[in-house]
Amino acid sequence: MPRSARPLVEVRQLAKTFGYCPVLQGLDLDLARSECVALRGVNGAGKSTLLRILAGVAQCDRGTVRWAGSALTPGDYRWRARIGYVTQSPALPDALSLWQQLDVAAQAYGMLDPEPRMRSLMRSAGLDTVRDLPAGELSRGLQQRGALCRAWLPDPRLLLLDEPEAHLDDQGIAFLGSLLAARTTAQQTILFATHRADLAARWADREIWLARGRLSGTPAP
Amino acid sequence: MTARAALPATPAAYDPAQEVLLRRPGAGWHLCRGAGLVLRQDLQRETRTWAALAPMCALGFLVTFVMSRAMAAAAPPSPQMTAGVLWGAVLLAGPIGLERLFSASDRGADLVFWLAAPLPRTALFLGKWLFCSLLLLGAALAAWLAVIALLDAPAAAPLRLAASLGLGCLGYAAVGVVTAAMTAAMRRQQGLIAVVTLPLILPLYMIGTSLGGALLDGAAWPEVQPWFLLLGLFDVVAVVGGLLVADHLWRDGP
Repeated sequence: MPRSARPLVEVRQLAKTFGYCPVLQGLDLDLARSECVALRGVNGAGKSTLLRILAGVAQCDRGTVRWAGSALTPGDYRWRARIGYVTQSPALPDALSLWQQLDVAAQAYGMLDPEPRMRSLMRSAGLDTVRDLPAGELSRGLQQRGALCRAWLPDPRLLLLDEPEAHLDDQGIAFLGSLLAARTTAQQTILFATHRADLAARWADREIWLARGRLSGTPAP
Repeated sequence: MTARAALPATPAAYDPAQEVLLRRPGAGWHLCRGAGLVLRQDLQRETRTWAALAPMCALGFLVTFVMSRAMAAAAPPSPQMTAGVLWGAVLLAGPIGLERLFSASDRGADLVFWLAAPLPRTALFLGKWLFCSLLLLGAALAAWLAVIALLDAPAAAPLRLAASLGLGCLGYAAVGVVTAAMTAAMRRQQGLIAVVTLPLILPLYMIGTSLGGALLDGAAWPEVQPWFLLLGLFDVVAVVGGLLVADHLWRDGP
């Protein structure tokens, strides 16, 4: 299969159990390049767990994840440079400013000359005037915009967003929409979990439902 | 002016075509750079709030004060007792810093970012270990000053006593980072950290007290050398053990 025709991400037989509670049970998923997929499911269906495993934050018990045909192993951390991850509550330490957090992220991802992009993202998010305030002094919505900027900063190939619209106002939703709309130009694949049917229909190329640890193309009955 | 009022009315358009260049360094760079970044971010946060060091120093002083009052009625404390108070103050102050390591106050925010970043888990362990060591050294210094002031401890062999405290803090921090990581996802981390950590560092307390007592008593180098070796051995075992388990500490994330 030619490289470009192959899915960017192939997940096979992914399983994860917490204690005696199986959350993911032999889950299969393909994500094509520049595709935007909405991940739907009821509370506790395992959406966040799936995103955390794909982001490398948690490990699966069983199954494989392939990136452009190459199997990913938990010990190999370099592939995480190509992934951006946003949690549903803004994952920003309270005491540091947004600018400091973007600076740390730029260095952690090994970016060369990150400042123009940091400035540009902050401007796009409407955060340029509050960038030096500690994150703890900002509203959750502004923090979430900061978290989105941090995820987009190293220009990752895959974006994993866990209810990214949480806490965002209309302006924040518009900013998120502009980031998602640019995926074709930026050649980014996006998987986002959401409970909002309207946003899934507006942004996603397709929707998938997670129920009883497996994915389907239609909602569970 | 509030943060919300400072927002511009209309955000600018996002430019997806902006070029981003990433370094492609080796594993050693990732490890050192990662540990340095973790340490730097923790120091930035600590120096902004002093949320860990200030209460640690205060508790260290308080423990020393209470112990000195308790011993005031008795004869002047022996060097062994003085060293016991010093190490006891450091050990009891430690869990305050350990609780802060994985940012319970930030809803695990810090940890999620580091786990998702393209850095080895060992870098996270090393960065947190260095930061925790600095916190413990600060608390140890405060406790030492309190011991000198309140217990009239002799200022004998200050360099060696400082070295013993430094070595002890390194080992304590290594054990503490592992236990803090293990309990980070648990709801009642505050109480658990002390319960899990303190038994593991009892050997450190015993070695430190014996060594400190000998140093305060003016013992010569050949007498204290074995204790220094034991402290060093404890550190090596704790740090190597921490590095070996670092990949498994956050298997299920925060």
